[in-house]
Amino acid sequence: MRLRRILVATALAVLLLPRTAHAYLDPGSGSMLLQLIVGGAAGAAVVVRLFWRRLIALLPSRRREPDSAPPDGA
Amino acid sequence: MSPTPRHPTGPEPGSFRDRDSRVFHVDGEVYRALGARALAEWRAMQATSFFPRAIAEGRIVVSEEVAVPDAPAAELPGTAAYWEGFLRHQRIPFVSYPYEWCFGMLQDAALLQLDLLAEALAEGCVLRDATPYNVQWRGAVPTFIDVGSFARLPPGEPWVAYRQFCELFLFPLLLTAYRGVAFQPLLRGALDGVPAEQCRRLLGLRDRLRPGVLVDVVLHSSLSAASADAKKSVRGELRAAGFDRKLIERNVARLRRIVAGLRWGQERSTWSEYGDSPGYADADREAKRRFVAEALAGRDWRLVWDLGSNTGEYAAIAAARSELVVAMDSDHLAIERLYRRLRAGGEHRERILPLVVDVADPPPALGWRGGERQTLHERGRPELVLCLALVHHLAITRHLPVDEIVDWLADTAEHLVIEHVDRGDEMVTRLLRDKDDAYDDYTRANFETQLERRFEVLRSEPASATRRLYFARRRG
Repeated sequence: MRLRRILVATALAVLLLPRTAHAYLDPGSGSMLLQLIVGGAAGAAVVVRLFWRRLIALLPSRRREPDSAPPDGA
Repeated sequence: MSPTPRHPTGPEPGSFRDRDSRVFHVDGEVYRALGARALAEWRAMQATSFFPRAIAEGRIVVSEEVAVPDAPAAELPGTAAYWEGFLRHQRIPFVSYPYEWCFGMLQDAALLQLDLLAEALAEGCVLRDATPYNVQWRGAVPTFIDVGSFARLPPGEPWVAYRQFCELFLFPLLLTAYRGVAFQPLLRGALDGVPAEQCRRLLGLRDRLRPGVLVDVVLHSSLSAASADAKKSVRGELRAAGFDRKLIERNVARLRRIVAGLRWGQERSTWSEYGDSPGYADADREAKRRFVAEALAGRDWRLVWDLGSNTGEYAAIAAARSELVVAMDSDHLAIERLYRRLRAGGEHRERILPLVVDVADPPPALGWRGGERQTLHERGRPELVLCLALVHHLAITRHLPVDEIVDWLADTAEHLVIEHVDRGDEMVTRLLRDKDDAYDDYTRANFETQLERRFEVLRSEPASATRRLYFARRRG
């Protein structure tokens, strides 16, 4: 349980850290992401899908708009 | 003079953030105007089982749909034509704010919030915000007042109020439970509460092992900083990635365990033992009890303030003849003990509202245009004030001139039960010790002159060799 939390937290940190330029008043993005960490297996599944969607969005060959693909529909 | 009704007619100045659901007053009654979306949600809540049940149990304020209230369009909030429906709410006898509550009150308000949310989630609904300002008290019994917060939960939606719950409920409670830091000045200083980063700085390293700290404070603070300049909508991304309602349910159950397990460990404070101190012989107390009971016996009272209520002994006597007694003391622990006793089934639990209030530094008008949170007086003046064993503290410890104190009391209520403790008294001698000022205005003679200037003394009796009680009615 604790290990899974740490894994999810690390994954989220990797997902987010490259964009830590400066602290600005936050509308609560971190608070929403934290809910994945405390969400156990269901939270971990959402993190995987989040990752996948971001990865897909980065691929240059895909000509669709980012965020339009269903996570497992590729 | 009857107590001034709070906003006899017109919009409630503290209700404007939700554009679709706004509170207003007509002739002292409390109404809520609903836009099309809010009306649809209200009707959806009627179809659930948890919502009517919570109203029947008194956990949500009694509310009913009504026709357009008989009020000029100008008195409705916003544009009158916008509103599609109206609710009438049961009136809360005296509005209070979380920075006036004791630890146990904020804790119980948090548990009410979480329980209602859990029940709503089980039926596919949610509370859109999580603020203690949505909880009010009938005596020592909490009730949720913002029925406009309930809505159906769209699929994939995260719990958007988690951060607000932390900043206004969880972090203040953690700071008091783990560090003994009073939350009242923090909440009075910032209406949005304590940010995760501030809470992290106030907690110590070893606190990180305690429930709620590592995840809800430390990680929360880091994640918030890390995602501060997120370019995409995290909410949108989570929705697209299939955020599950179960995640919210799990989080709410987890938070409930943390909140329910918190204890404020303080055992002693300056005044919480005061009622038992040797300065008060049993015979004196009996004389005082009798005097208060007889002064109040002539009629029924709607609202009474008991200033410096301490253990609530005299508030209980007043409650037997009053709709509501607001028992105020600046001592957090005294109010905490009074609250616990009332909550545990103490007598008059729905008629005594315990509040942490320092009358020498009373709660100010706060928020947008100074109107969102009101001063004590704006929320309803009492018909009678009990001011027992307090004037010497205000005059000597807080340096308030005696004429000022009497003027303030006369501005507050028509009737007054007040005690004067003379200079020979052990307590006054103790307060005067090491003081440079002689407090020349603090004499029995000057007190009586000032009292007679603003009040007609109806009855007066000695309570002991150094203490005297007065029952008085304001002149003019």
